[in-house]
Amino acid sequence: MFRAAAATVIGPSHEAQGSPNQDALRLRGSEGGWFLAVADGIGSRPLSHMGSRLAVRVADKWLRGGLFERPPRDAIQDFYRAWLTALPSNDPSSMATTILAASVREDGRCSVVQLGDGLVLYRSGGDFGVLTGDRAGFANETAALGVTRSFGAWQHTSFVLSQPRDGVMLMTDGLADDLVPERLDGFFDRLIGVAAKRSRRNGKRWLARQLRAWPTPMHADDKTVGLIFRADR
Amino acid sequence: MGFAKYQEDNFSRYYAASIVRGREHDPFVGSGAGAEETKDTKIMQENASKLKDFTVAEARPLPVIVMADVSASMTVGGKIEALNLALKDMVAGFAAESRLRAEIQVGLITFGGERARVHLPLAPAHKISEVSPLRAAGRTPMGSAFEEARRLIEDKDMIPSRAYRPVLVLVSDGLPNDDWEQPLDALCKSERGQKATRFAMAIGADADVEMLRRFANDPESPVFKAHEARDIHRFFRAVTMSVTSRSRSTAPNSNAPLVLADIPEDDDLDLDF
Repeated sequence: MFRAAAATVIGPSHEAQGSPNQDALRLRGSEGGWFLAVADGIGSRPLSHMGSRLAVRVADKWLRGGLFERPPRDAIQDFYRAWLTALPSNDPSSMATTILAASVREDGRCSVVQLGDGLVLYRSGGDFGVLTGDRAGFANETAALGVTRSFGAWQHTSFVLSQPRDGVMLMTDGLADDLVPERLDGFFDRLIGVAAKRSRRNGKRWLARQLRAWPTPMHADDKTVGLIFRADR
Repeated sequence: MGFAKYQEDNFSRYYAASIVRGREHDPFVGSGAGAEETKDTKIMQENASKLKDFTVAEARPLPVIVMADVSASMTVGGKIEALNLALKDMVAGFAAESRLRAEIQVGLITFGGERARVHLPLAPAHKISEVSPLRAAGRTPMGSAFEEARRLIEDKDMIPSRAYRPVLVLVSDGLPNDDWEQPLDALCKSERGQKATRFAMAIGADADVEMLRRFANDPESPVFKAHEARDIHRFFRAVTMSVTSRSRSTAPNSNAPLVLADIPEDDDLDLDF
């Protein structure tokens, strides 16, 4: 049996500006599996909050099953085209956004894709892993839907969630950039440990409180995190 | 029922129940029985402190790296004295910032004599107690300064990827007399160097303006030409304004152009020293 929790909060900087949360989140369960997507609208683009909301919605439709039924390149291309079609504007770059998505089947198979910054952590068969590579440039520089055409910019992996507390965690750079690289596994286990003891609603509330009380000084960005994990029994 | 009784009634109605309220809006917090922390607040504090174990304790840095010419020609016309004063003011200006969105860091590379050297290692401005005065002497090994700057900017331990785009400032009054073209190219084309905002100031008529133009990459801030010592101060004041406006901005990664304010001739205050 799999369980899940997720939360998104607006960052102090957008709150002060009166701007909307540019992160978006989608978490849906069905047929014993889960689908999770997080997206971070590029801050310098005027309608990126719309781009990120559309991205997680379109990802649910095209990547939930598509990542298992088709080769990753085809699934991603279908998703990207559907996102472009869904945009209300013919200028995709004005709605540029990152996208991270994970689909988990009832049998424990998990498929994950990522375009742009943020972080994907997972534990499979008890072994901890990080999908995301090192950032090449500086803060807020990223590949994104609406800007990046190359398939090579996407990261993709599949694994099986076979043991209790195996799971997958997606987050936007509002959290990812402030985490100590050497303690990512501890962070992963702590959040899953807490979520395992709570209902989905309480887990969401707890996560949202952590994101609002984020300990790194001068944190400004919107923050979104979601996790799917195999329950203890 | 009197007003006091009414307040008590409100207090017992709300605080005996498990209603979650923000303490900042709580009229009873800070005095009397109402000062007791609610269960939810305690939980929130405990939980927040638990994630501290996994997060970076430092704010995102906004690095400013100054490459300053300290060759012998800087001794003429009070240029080195003006540069010392301008750097001191710039660091003090950064240190005084409220650090709302980013922590401004300053590093200083000097080039004069045989080779460039790190005069001030990159450090948060508010922790820099003093910038020891620069002394000008020798030749102009600018290529060596480009190499030093590239080493620093590409060092992910010194400038992590979570940092905002750095600012590189080049100040010179002469022609480089070492091999500078290849090091300049390497800096400007390096993975991280090309993303930095690069400002340049040419001091006096002997400065190699064409070379400085190759270095500067902000189209809204072309090479600034200083004709006299006081212009050095104007330039650094503009750099200070540009960086601090970024650090206050909701988008600290965006460029902020240099705006050079005029300093009137009689700018000095009427003071007895």
